[in-house]
Amino acid sequence: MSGGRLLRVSDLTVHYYTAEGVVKALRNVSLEVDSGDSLCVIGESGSGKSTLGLAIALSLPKNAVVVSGSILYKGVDLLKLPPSEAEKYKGREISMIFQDPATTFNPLFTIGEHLTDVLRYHFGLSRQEALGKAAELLKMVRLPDPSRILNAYPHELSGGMLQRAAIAAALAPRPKVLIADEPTTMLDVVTQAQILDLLDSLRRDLDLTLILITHNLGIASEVCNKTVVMYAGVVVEEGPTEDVILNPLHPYTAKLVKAVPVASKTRGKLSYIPGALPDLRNPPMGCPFADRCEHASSKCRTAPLKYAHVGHTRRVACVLYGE
Amino acid sequence: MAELGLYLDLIRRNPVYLAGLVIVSSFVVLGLIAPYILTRPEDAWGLAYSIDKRLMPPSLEHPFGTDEYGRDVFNRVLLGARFSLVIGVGVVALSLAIGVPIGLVAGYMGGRVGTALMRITDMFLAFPPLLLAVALAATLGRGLLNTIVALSLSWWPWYSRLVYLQVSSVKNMPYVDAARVVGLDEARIMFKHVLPNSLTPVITQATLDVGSAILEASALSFLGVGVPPPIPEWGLLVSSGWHLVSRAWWISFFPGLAIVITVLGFNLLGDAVKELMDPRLRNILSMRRV
Amino acid sequence: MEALLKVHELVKYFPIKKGLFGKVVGYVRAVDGVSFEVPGGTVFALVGESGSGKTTVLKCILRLEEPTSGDIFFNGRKVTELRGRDLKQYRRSVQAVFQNPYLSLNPRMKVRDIIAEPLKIHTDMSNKEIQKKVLELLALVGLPEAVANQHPPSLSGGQAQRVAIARALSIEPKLLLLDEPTSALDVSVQAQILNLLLELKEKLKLTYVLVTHDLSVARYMSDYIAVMYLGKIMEIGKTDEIFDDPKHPYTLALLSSIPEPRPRADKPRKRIVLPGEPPSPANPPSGCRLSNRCPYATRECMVTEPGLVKLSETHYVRCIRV
Repeated sequence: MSGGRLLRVSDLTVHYYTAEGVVKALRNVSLEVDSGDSLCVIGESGSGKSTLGLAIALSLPKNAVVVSGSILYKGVDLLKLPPSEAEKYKGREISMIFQDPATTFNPLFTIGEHLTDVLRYHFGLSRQEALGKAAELLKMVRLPDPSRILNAYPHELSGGMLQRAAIAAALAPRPKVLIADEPTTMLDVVTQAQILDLLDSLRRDLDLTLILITHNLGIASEVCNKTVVMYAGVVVEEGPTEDVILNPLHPYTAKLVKAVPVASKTRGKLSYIPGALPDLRNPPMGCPFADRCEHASSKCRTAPLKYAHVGHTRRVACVLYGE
Repeated sequence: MAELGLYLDLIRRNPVYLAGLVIVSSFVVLGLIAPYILTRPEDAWGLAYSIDKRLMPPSLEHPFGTDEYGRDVFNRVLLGARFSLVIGVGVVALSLAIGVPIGLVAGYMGGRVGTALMRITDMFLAFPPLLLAVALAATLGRGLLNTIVALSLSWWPWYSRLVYLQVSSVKNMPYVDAARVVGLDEARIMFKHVLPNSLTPVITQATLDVGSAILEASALSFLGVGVPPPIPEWGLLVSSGWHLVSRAWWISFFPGLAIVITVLGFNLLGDAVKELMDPRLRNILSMRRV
Repeated sequence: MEALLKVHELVKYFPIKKGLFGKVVGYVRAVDGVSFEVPGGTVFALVGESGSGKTTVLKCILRLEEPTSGDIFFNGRKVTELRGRDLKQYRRSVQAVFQNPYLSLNPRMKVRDIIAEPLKIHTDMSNKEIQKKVLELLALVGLPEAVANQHPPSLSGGQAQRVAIARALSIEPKLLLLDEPTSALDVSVQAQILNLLLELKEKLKLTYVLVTHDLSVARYMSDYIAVMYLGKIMEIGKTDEIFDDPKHPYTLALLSSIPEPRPRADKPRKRIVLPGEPPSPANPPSGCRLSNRCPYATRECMVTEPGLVKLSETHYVRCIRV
């Protein structure tokens, strides 16, 4: 399923400057994505998963600073590109959709106007050509009655339809990579299933590489072949989705799996994770999960994170797995 | 206290804002202590005449010169700061006292009562504010209190509207529902939960409006419908020297300068505060610290 | 056993007003004839997606909204007509925890004052007694005393929600309504809150009505489940009945849509796909509410609205295929 290596994030460190201090949102994050993968970045609030997505999409906010690291896309370090070069990748090779589709669209313009703008910008089409292509895109995302949608304003569409339109807009420039940051969190379960289905088939039909950011293990299991688990700004575990979820290595992943109420198993006691996230303005040395981990030792708190490889495909940042 | 640090960052970014802070603080301090530091109180309060000292240009002894009654202009301008402060704060306070309750009730009750109250507010807002103030002041007659009242009557609708907008959205917050579920009666919900959460933009606006109130009061006094002589209100001082402006420019010039600087100071402070409130800017400001 | 809470043919329509004079042009039929009973000591879940009307039902029980028609009985007494002191007493017995604690707690108040508020309203305890009770309540929900002097925005999501629970329980209600109590929280914290709620229910002999869109949470927490769609109950029964033997196409669709961590070998599972989107509650389809999306719909479905068919003492389904 996977072609060669497409994307390689190495030692990425991103800090946010806020009025309350400097938040070290990502610390030495590395991961690899192969062409055709559907990668899931799993994490809860404060994990840094959204920051990672924004960094890859070259869309970090103004108060974010990339302190170190590189993002190699097809061998080119995106972070070192001058703005004129970056234009070729941002929104074109690498595209992104967000949790709230309403923020993607300007409420003053119709969906058609938005799509034709994007198409004409990237491909220099005439208005007629762009409209035709726009209608095709809407059909591709399984929206019924494309001509009606083209003339509709964002507020006239339901959440599910708007998110599909956002996907259409993101795919208009024919990107190679689509980053989806919690695309279904605001949608109902039935609509969610439809959207995830759509993303999966688009990935196959368009030879797309999908990076799905979510907190929902179930979604990861349904859609993604590879999973990266993040906690407090670092990667704690990585591997094939099935392995990571059914046989978690890192204590955090294990706890996370046990904390999910599952509809089809019998009721047991849900486990939770006591304690709270460390303050990312002053992240601890060593493993950030140490204070909440029942296996933690003093080594965990002092030694810098090292990744142990388990088998060919799995990686985990935990002293339990040797050096 | 993080605010102060951020304010310093803001100033570093745009030094003009420092001027705003300095001017307004100096003005407030002067306004408070003016009556006690006058070197020639009889001149300032307009109780004495010195024919032989008439129309003297600025000198070491009289830094702002003297007026047509021989009174030291510097002392008069200094005392004028006190009056400006009183008027500025008085107008804002009275406007809040009228406007906030109206906006609160209108916003909270909504429906016909709310609409009615807001229509009345709109009526007042329809008048050009200065014109309305002049008309009211002329009707009430000259006087310090009358000036404050006239200005407040033209000012309150702005606060009313601001509060109305805030309250309209705050009343739909879940914690208001929660207060109902807990058993609080509507009146207490209005005062305990809705009002405190609706006041922030109003208070900010009001603090900065002091400058605008001072400007409008001087306009009224200049036109002769505000404060009566011999009160050394700045607008009045400007108008009293107007017919002499070619022969003794200093009589109008220095009080006019005082008005301009004070109002400018408030405007700069206001801009600084508004920038400070913008969350995105706050974050970018903090980047400068490194 | 007489049910603690009984909802009978509850209807709530919201008028749609247009134009300068607010002319009524239609109605949003948020709740269109909902009935159920909640036995004391149980957890009853109202499950549905947005637009199903489940939150509106909750608001009617809480008297935050007045029903258009229908009745609500608490302990045998009609709730919908209570006023003044009677209403206040009702509120003492029925409390709520809302979805987002940062929004349901006044950000300007200290935690101790937030929890003390209901006590001040309903009891004549002295300040000292109230403060003592506040600390007891904090301990009850597993929060340290230090939290008492903080403000909600400085608390974590889980802590804030526990404050909301403490507030609700301060006056010892019999019935607690929970509106998506964990949807706004992280997964690792969600479990904590759900477990706490179950513990408290046993300890304090409470009854819960839980509103959620998450069937997994419903399964974990409740004894009975009612599945709502467009203002009506489509299926209602004991939790086990709903999960082991679901009958309504909508229930089946919901169950099959839940993404679950499962081995690859189990995929693809049989999924009931509901095409399209739920119609607007202002304009429900004729006949069965699901008729325009149901994969099994017949012509009959689009004409007549089915009544509830009894499958067992506790299990009912609104579908003509059954």
